[in-house]
Amino acid sequence: MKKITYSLLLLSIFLVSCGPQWNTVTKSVSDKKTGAVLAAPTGWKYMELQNKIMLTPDSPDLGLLVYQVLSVSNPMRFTKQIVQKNMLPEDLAALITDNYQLNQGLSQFKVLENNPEVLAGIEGFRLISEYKSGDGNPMKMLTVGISLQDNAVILEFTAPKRVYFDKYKPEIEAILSKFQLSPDLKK
Amino acid sequence: MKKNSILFSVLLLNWVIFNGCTPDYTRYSSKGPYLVQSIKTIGIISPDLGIFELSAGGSSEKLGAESEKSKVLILNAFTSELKKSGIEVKLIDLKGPDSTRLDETRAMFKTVNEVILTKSTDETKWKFEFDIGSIDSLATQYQVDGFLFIQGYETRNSAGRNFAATAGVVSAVLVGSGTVYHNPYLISFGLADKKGKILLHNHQTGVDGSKWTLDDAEEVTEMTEFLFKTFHEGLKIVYKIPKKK
Repeated sequence: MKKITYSLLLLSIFLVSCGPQWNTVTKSVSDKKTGAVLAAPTGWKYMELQNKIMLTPDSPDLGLLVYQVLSVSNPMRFTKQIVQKNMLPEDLAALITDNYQLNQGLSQFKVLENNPEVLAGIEGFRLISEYKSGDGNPMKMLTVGISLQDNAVILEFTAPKRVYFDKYKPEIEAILSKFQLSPDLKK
Repeated sequence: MKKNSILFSVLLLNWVIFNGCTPDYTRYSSKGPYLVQSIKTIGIISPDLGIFELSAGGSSEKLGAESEKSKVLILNAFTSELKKSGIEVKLIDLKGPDSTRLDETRAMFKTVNEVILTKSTDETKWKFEFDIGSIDSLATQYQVDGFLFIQGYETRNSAGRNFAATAGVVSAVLVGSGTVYHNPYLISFGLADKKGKILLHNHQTGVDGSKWTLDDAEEVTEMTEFLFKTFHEGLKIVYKIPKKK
């Protein structure tokens, strides 16, 4: 009886203590590997994963910004294509779009806008797209990406098309306009 | 003696948690009770309900007949409760020319509902501000003042017996004997005004010790009465609108 209780207690402590957790933004969020700085508003939540930082104003289901670094050595999840060194922005946009289109979780995916964008002083692309979630809820997505020497940086904001995309968009635009990269990475 | 006392305390706590009390999770938006009083006709979009059978392999299959029965019972019980407060109900099916708009609205509620359910009642009780976007055109079309969305599920095991809720299993292990086994279920509803603001939300779950089954007429009636208890009280007591002179 005692052993079972201790085992359950240990298991629950282990389950709670391990794995990434949501933290509250107090100043800004930075990626130690790339030196990228995301100036998210105070009170937002963030979670650090391998090659990825996720930020949300309240709940990921109602608005999620994902910062990720795509390495030239790692294939994309769905297309299995690889980011090339110093890709042209339009080629990088095509690579990202192809990957979205093969993602079965993004039902009825369609690109609404595909335009050039400057992020952290580097020329890149800006995509606005729509899809339906697994529950059939129309979602909207803003993706901004730039190509670097050995990798690509992608910022992707997703929220329900109704209410929440427009509600958080001004804050997302502010984060994008203040986005910084380490000078070493820009070379 | 000491061991017996601990065991008794755990049993008592277990009884209190799983049998003795059914928590009330009613949440109103800041002006919710006041705004609810302005609603005289409610449209209930076909509930998103399912009773599932969990097989030994871990996959679950929707039980069609039980799910349909549950849907009818819950719609009848909700309609009856709303009528008690003088609210007229219009049942709205997902079929027809508006099916896409209705389906998307229901899906949006589902997304928001899942967020609401992840937040504690204490956190949101008095700061409950959730929105599903304007449903004004649908409200005009169906001539209603607001929409009520119902979402729920119940899971049973493949042998047809009640399947132990996770909390029930843990409590049974701690106590050292099988104690409370209820079907894991969750039922929630939200009332939205024409602007899409969720004015009122409530839910019940088997994990908290309530023991209702979603396709039993008596239990559904009892559960719905409980779900609407504070709804009626809120209308009558909390925010009484002064009569126009």
